[in-house]
Amino acid sequence: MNQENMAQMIRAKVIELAAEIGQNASALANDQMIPGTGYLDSPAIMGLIAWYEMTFDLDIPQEDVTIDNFGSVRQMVDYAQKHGAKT
Amino acid sequence: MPTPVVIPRINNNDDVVKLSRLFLEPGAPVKRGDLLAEIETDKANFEIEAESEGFILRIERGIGEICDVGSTLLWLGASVDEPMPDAPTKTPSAIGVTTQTPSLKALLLLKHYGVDASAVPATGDRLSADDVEAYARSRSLSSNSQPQNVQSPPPSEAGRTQALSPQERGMLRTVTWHRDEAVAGYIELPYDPKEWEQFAATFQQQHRLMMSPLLSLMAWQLTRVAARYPKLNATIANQQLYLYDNVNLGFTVQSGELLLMPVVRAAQALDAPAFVETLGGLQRQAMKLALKPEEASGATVAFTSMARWGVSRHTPILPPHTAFMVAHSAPTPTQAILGATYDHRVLTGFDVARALREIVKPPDA
Repeated sequence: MNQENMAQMIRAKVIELAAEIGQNASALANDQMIPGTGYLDSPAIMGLIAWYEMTFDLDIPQEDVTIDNFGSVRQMVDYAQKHGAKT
Repeated sequence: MPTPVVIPRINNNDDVVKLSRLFLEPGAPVKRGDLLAEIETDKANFEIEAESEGFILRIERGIGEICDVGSTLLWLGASVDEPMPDAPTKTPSAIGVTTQTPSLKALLLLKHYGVDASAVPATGDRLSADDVEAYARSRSLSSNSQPQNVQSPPPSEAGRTQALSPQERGMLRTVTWHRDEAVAGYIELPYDPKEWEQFAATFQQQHRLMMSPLLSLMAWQLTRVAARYPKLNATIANQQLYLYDNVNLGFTVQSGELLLMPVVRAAQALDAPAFVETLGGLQRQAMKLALKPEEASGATVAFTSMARWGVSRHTPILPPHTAFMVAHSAPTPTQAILGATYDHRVLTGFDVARALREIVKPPDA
């Protein structure tokens, strides 16, 4: 899977999770910091990370769950590629 | 011919078990796989399921009774009026049942417990007060108590039954414990959430966290308060206060439509960063439905929030064998409310108010 496809999948999941709490995240840019947008609350971000682990077959140590690794769609793509994500 | 259902062996080292629940009553129809009872040892709980269909003819044991492994729990028959064997069991309640006149004191106690004299075994020529007390103790009866955990008859309106999922059965056990065991009360305290929000924002920034640690930190504060006031971290067992050695914090997590409760064990030993990290890992496991059994059981205090749904007040159900569960809600523009359900057998309103007053303040605030 290329980077663009991976980014599309993550954006789609963010939009889906945001919709569950009445937010429209369709304008989310790949470099935008997700926690700062207000699209997702804490449980939704947790759900995003759990989905990400399962989808890309990664086992992420909790200390890696930081804004520097997962703050934006782009960072999530980079982390997955760096850690040998499988799809 | 009636078939006995016997008490199974759960562990090699346990020759006796405690009967903790009965799910059906005499006369009830039973299908293969239906839950009949729950038994427990110090180490494990075990559900007894029907291995054949039929009707419950007689139940030989009472809730709370200590039963020998291999002894008869109940009898199943092909029809509801099938005659019982003459000497069915060594169950105490079936031996020496008296038809003699009870003593006056025994009569008063029978009335007090709502028990028929014919159900109580007599140790002498006449039914005594001691006989009634022993019977009541063996069945954990309270004044005029009704049989516990007896299945309700189906409603008269047309409908269909559907088997409960394991999680739904867990929820049923929880709410049944809350109803049958705890004497639940609820107290809430208004507070200004700004101090906590500020504390959580600073913590999030310092630790470069993806999400606000507000609820995790409030739960951590709960563990500190529970360690300070041990009765918050306690329950009632065998008419005595049971104080837990560790503070095991249960935290509700929604995964799809399921409500789960991962448990941070020995949380009193964790500082705030370690607690937030441990709880975060468990929350992710819960969302993936990948919690190990030991990560999803053993809560001694609990925390729940419905803030994300905009709920401004809710009264949670106590997890089994806990006495204190904090309920976080969505703040209004002017104030927030922190509530707690508590077991009044263990805690007074004062205990709970004092705890809430300490939880609504972040550390060093």
